[in-house]
Amino acid sequence: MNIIEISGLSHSYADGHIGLQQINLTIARGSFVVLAGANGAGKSTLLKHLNGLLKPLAGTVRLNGVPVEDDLLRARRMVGMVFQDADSQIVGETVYDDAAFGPENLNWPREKITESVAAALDLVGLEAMAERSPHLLSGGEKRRLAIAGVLAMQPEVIVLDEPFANLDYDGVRQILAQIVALHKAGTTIIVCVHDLEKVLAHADRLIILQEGRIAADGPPHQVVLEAEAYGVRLPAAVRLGGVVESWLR
Amino acid sequence: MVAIAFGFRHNDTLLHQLDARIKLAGLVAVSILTINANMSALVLAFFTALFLLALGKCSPLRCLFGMKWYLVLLACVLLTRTLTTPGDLLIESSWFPATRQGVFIGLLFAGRLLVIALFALLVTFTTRPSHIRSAVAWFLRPIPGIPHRQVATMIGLLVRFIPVILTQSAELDLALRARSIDNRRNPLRRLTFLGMPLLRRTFVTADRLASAMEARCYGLHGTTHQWQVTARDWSALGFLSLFCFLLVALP
Repeated sequence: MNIIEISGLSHSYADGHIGLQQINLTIARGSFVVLAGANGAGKSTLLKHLNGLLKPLAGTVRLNGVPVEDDLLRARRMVGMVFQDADSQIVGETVYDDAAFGPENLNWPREKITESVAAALDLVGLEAMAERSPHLLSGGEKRRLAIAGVLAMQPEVIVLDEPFANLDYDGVRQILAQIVALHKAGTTIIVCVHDLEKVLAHADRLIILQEGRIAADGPPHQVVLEAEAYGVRLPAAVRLGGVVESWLR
Repeated sequence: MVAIAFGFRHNDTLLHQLDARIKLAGLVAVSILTINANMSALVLAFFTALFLLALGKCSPLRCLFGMKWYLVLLACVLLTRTLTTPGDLLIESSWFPATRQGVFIGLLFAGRLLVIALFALLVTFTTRPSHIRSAVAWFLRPIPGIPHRQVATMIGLLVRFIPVILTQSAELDLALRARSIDNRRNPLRRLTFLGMPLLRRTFVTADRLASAMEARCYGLHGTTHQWQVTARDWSALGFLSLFCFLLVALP
C-alpha cells in the first residue's frame, strides 16, 4: 500500500527558477527510498512538499490518500523531517526540551510527552544527556538529537535531507545504524543524498532527480549504473564491478 | 563561553526544586530594591547571594572568576566615582584626586550591580530555561495585547542561539585573521568585514529555524507547563518577603 502519492507536482521559485516539473511518484509504506541528484536537482524542494513546507504550483501530494494541504498538522505529524543543518533545527535549550518541542506543539498530555521523549532519546542513545545544552553536543550527537526530535512526534515517514553531511566515519555509522533500525521497525524512510556510497546497500529503491524531473527510478543495483550520467558519483565498488557494501559491517 | 559557563546545570538542590515563578519574581523584587539599597542592606544581599549560590551547588569563586570582565567593568565604575566625587581627599595628590566619599559611593554603585548580577546568575543556574520561559508566559498572560507565548518562545530562542551566534562570530574572526585582516588599520572596515557576513549567516539560520519549527508543528496552542506549588514554595515566598523587608528596613 502506498503511503505517499505525488501526481503532476510542479514548483517554481519567486525568481522564476523552476524547482520541480511534473513529478509523478508513489512510495510504498515501509520502504527505504534513496533520493539522489546533483546540487540544485530539486531534492530538497521535493522533500519540503511532503509535509506542506512548500506549496505546489500544480499537482497534489497525498498522504494515505489525504491531500497534504487539507490538514497540514496531520501531514507534519505523519512526515517527520530531519534537515541538513542540525544546528539550526535544534530549538530547545536542553536536549530534553528540544525533543519535547514537537509533541508540545501537538498539544499532547504531559505524561504522553514525557513517555514519547524518553523513548525517542533512548532510541538514539541520548537519554544520559537529556539535561545538556545542545550547543555542547558533537556533530553526530546533534544529528541524532534532530532525529530524536522528529521521532518523539511518532511519525510514519521519516525524511532525512543529507543526513551524513559534515560527519566523520563514526558519526556516519551511528546515524546510518539509527536509520536502518527505524526502517526495520517499520518506518518508511526517505533519504536524500548526493553521495550514494554510504546508504545504497540498505535501500530498496533509488530515485535520481535531474533539473526538477525524475531521471531514473527503480531497484538500486540497476539505477546506480546510470547515476554518473545525471551528475551523481558512481560508488567505487560499482565502478570496480562489485556491489556496494554496508558501512555497518 | 560566558553563556555556556552561566547556563543551567541540572541538580537536585532545594533551589533547583523551587517554582520558577517565585525565583523570577524574587529576582525582579531584589533587583528593584537593590537599586536603592544602602550599604548595610547591600552587604546582607551580597552574603545572602553567595550563601544561596553555595546552596545551589554553584561555587561562588567559580562565579566570580567567570564574571571577571564584568568585575573589570565594576572596577571602572568604582574608579570613576572615586575620582569624580567631591569630598575629603584620601591622599594629597593633584593627579589622583580620590576622595573618601567617592570610594563609598563607588563601592555602593558597583556593589548594587554585582548583587543584581549574582542573583540573576543564581536564577539561571538553578532554573531550567523552559521553566523560565513558562514563568515569563505566566506573568505576561494577564496583560492584554501581549502575545505571551510568542514572547516566551523568543526568550527561549535567544537563550538557545546566543552561543550559536558567538561560535559563528569566532569562526568568522578566525577566517578573517587567516587572511590578514589584522593588517587593516581602519577598525570600521574590520567591523564591516566581520559584521556583514555574520548578519547574513544569522538571517540564514533564522530562516532555516523557521522552516524547522514549522515542520515540527509550531503554533499558538501547545501543551503548557504544569505548575505544582508545594509548601516548600510557599515557605520560600515567605522568606523572600522577609528578605525584601530587611533590604528596605535596614539602616
